[in-house]
Amino acid sequence: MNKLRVNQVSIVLLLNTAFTFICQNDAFTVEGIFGTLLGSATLLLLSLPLVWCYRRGFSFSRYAQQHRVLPLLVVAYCLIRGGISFLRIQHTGETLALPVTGKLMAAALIALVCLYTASLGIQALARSSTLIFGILLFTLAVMLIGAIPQAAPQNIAFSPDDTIWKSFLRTLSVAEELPLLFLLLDFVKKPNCRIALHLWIGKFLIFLYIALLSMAVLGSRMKSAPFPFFAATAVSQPFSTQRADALYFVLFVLLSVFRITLYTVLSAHLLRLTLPQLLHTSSICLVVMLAISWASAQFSLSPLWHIPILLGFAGIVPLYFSILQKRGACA
Amino acid sequence: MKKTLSFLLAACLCISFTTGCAAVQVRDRSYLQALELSNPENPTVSLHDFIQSGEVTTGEGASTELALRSAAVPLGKELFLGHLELVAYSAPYFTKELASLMDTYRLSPACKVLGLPADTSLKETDTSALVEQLRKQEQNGTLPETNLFTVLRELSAPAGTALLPIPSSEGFSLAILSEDQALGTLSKETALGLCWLRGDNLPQQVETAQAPFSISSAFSRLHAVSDGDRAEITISVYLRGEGDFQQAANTIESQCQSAIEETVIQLKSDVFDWHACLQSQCHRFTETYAWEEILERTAFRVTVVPLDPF
Repeated sequence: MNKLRVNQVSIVLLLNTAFTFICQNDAFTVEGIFGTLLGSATLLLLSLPLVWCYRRGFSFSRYAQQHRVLPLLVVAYCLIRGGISFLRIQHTGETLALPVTGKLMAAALIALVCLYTASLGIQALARSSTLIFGILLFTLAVMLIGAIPQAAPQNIAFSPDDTIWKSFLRTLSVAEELPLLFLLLDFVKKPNCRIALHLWIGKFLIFLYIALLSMAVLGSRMKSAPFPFFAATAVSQPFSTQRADALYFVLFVLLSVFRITLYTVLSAHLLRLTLPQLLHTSSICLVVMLAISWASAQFSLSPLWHIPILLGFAGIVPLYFSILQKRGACA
Repeated sequence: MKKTLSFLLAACLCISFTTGCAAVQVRDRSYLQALELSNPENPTVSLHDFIQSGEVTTGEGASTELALRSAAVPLGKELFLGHLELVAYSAPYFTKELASLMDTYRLSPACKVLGLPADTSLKETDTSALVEQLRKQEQNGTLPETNLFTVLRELSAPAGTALLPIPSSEGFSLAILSEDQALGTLSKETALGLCWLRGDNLPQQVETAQAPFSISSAFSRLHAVSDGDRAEITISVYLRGEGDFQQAANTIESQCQSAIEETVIQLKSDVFDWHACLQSQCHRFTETYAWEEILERTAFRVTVVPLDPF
């Protein structure tokens, strides 16, 4: 199996986090910053049992080769998250008025690119993550240069509509990185707590950066902005003669493709282990994701459904596997 | 499998690229410099481009969007408003349209917004020169900087008012609008005071009774404190330059007090983010009282402080 470095896994997960933040449609608030800090600290603690499990020799891939139920449930989770990601990409793309004439055509093109990228394997994805992370950092730097003339520190104030508890729950409800961490640790030769530290500290710092800049620039305009990140970038233009919107669109597209590809790679990998006779697993996963995105557009579900799954990954799964390890089932 | 996928991907990319041949060419677009809105009952748009000095086309319709579509017909080209430098209107009704214009047509947030006196039209006006005159007056520090984004941001604040420049006999003066009505025009003294209060563009010298005070460095800060049921906002202007500092300080204080008197006391507006300052530094006070009560319970103080040369 392809092995990844600790830093690569951290960067892959940070890119996933960055996508969540740039597509966020809730306003950035001071309460949100504190809620994210608490949420990140909680998720750091919840990550430790997972790292501990793998350090003791556990391997989810080996388990998936011998069992079906739990791996297929994890596959279903990845497919649902991938489907929801397709939907989120569509909604964000519509608001940004991206020059795409048909939703189906756009989704199919993204799926095709993801299919090709997934066929190259997890290691290629991890290598490309370093480049995309560089583009992310460059984009954030351009945002800062454009935001400084527009920023007004008095716009950073507590919000009458948000609370720390609500933002803490929001952080947990979008923390897909914890299940992804569980799956990606399988590809790391010597997993250690550094991955979790890098991930959750990095997540908080990225959120803090984007939230502070957006609040300082948008001020009271934040509550009427459908996507605060893009609203802030629209007014944070670093040059008077040339707009930088294209840079943010490029970042959005790169992160979208990266995210879908990650879910495709992981779900296809687990499917191949669980059902070795199944062919074209990546294609099947992408088609299912597209179907899920269509289905989830028909009804809405509270994002809080993710929190019990998170607690399941963090609590029940490591406990179950440590019992299995003691019985020598999957060491 | 990989070869097949690569071929399919390459084919799709080729198809995508060749569809660019059917996309809008530069010569098929009309790049517009100014937009004038009039006649709220039957919205009428008057458009100016970067080449001709007067109006190039006009259109009307049941809505602003339909009026823009009909304005494209005489030109025979697609309209592009992404480089728009000026939006002007006389009817306060159109203030509500600014947000949707910005979102729909991706107007630059730095686009200037100009209020027009009643029965005034820019049909024969060189709007490029008009925008340059406006920018020059802002650069001189005699008119506070405003643009589409500052107008929308001010309208989103609890006061729901925005500052707009309006043409006058001496260049430009200022008016305050809410979403549906014009609240009043401001004096020249107030305009100078707002430059200090907003702090975005400051003058290079202060006219005093004797010689002008030449400014080498200046900035302003707002600071709020609350004490139970009352709050005080202190506007501190930090100043360094050559000349009689005391006279300059007196002039600046007088201009700032005039701005506070006209904009806050008389017109009950917020055009220098004082409420945002209060919300940031006295959050509990703003949570306890409604906007009208905050207006009554907040006092303002102006101080001019010499900047240490080192």
